[in-house]
Amino acid sequence: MYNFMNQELKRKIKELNQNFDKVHYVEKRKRSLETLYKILIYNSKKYKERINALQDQYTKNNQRKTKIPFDELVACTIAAKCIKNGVFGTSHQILKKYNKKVVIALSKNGKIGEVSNLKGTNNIVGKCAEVKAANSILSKDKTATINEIEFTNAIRPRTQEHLKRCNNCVAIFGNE
Amino acid sequence: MSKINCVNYDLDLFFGIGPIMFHTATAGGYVAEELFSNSVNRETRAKLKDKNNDLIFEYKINPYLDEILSLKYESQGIKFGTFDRESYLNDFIEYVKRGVFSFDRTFISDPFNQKYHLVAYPLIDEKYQKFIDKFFEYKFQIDNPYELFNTANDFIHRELNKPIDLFLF
Repeated sequence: MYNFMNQELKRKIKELNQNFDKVHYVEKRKRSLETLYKILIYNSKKYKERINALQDQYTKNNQRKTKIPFDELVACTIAAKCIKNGVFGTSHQILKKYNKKVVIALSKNGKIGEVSNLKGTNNIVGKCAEVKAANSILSKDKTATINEIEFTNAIRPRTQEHLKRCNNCVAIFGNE
Repeated sequence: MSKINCVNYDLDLFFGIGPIMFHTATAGGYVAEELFSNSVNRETRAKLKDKNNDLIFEYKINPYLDEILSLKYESQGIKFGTFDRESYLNDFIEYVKRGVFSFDRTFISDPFNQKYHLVAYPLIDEKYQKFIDKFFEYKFQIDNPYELFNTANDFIHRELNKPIDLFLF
């Protein structure tokens, strides 16, 4: 029973995190980067509320001690835009598969899933929200290039604070 | 969750020093696996936020918080003016109201940086003995809660006017 609830909780929280990484068609509504940023802030607040509600719901139903897996609030989220498409990306997990253009770009920084070779950063290659967002855009639009992608500020969902771009992402996407 | 994965998340950790309970948000920082994998974190959070928990304390924001945060944003080249104070404080105040001293990791863009700052703290009063009885396994006896509060307050003004090193890995 408890194993089932753990798995169910894990699945729902994972789904909530993965739902963040979605592609949106922006051209028709002429969404600017600024608008995408406002949507990002709103989405982040809602995401935080839902994660908290999900955890409270399960813990209330579970009076005994259980080893609940730690799929929790993600550390970083971002919005990006490229021509017709807008996306959101998070720092939730390394992906199982990356778009070829992203793989080539990431190889500058080291091996995917490991600490970067670059000086001045200890971040894991491939986990950044920028990378996830870029991956979504390039997977959706085969003609798009990394240079054409525009990003909002990255934010921390818990507090809505601005997160500075790490050296891994500066190496691939340029300065903010 | 491996050491690598903890960097993806903004975890809530709880620990006690004497009769004081601390909360900290990790903000994507590295944390030792034995710390974040301990189920007591999740259980403590649930117990504190339970609607049946009627122990609510008045609280104070760290008087040095704005200085610490402006230092933090300056070091990252971010304009302090874009900072939304209410959004920032929300989560931490939820814990502080329930009797916990709440910390946050300061330099959130670097996962290895282990500086943490006090965000806010509860005003310890007569209810605090009930808080200890409810949340601590070891039953401390507090004869004078106001003395405890004054001690904590002195400590805050002396030591917590800047980020401190909290080595969690």
